Amino acid sequence: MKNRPIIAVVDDDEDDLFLIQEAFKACLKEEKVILANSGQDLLARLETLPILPSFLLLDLNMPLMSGFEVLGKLRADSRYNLMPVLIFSTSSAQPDIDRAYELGANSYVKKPVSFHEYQSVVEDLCNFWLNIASTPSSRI
Amino acid sequence: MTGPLAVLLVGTPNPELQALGKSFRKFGVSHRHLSAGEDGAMDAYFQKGLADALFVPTLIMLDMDTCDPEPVLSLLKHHSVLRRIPVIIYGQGNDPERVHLAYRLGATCYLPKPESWDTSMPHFCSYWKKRVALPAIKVEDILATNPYPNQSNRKRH
Repeated sequence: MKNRPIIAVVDDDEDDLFLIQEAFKACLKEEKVILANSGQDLLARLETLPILPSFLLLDLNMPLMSGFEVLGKLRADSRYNLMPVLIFSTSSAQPDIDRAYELGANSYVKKPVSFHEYQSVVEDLCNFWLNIASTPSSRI
Repeated sequence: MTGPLAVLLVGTPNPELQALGKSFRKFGVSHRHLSAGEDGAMDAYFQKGLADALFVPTLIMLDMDTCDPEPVLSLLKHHSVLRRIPVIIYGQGNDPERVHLAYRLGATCYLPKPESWDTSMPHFCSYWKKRVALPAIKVEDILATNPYPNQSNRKRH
């Protein structure tokens, strides 16, 4: 049986996780969304997944383990280092953006403020990463 | 909200590349072409040509059907400033080995060549022009940086 494609999201803010989940519902077909509330939670969940997520949305500002630390761990792990990681942050500080790319982020997307914008951003994310690009897990 | 999208197209000139360039013009995407067939072309571009051209790419698109991506990605990803520039590798088909190779080399993503770039371009632009925050790349930072820290006596172009 074919595994359903997976999208993973990490954010410590419950409201943001809810908004992202609702926004994905509007534009996904068969993909399953995995929500994690911390870097540790994500790493534990990844261990249990049958396939790599098509992409990961990663918040930067989180307690205990920052998004940069999570990104560093993923890029250092041969099981996950090919997984596309999209930084999803409220920060528009250029040093954060530059550092994310230096650490191997696949892109950096500014987190929106309203639900309407969330829907629009998530739709653009899905159109590019699920319909235009190919990822190591999405077409295999 | 984000910096300007400026695309450097890397590959051998052919009708497909012309079609991509035409589509970029149609959708208002600033771009330049670099023929990287000759060894050292990228090196020369970023060490000299870039300063002359005053065109600093914030995204690179490399045609793996006409250009070996490995030396190009190796050069970029070992440079302290250029490594920030996202690189899209595109090519014919969707073979899993090609997809894996692109990501393994450090590409931002792999794009299978679409039947029509004009059809894909609205989604491409909605993402890269509207949503993505791009790195800041300054010519002076590139020129001031030794691109080959482990090869201090390498000949410069």
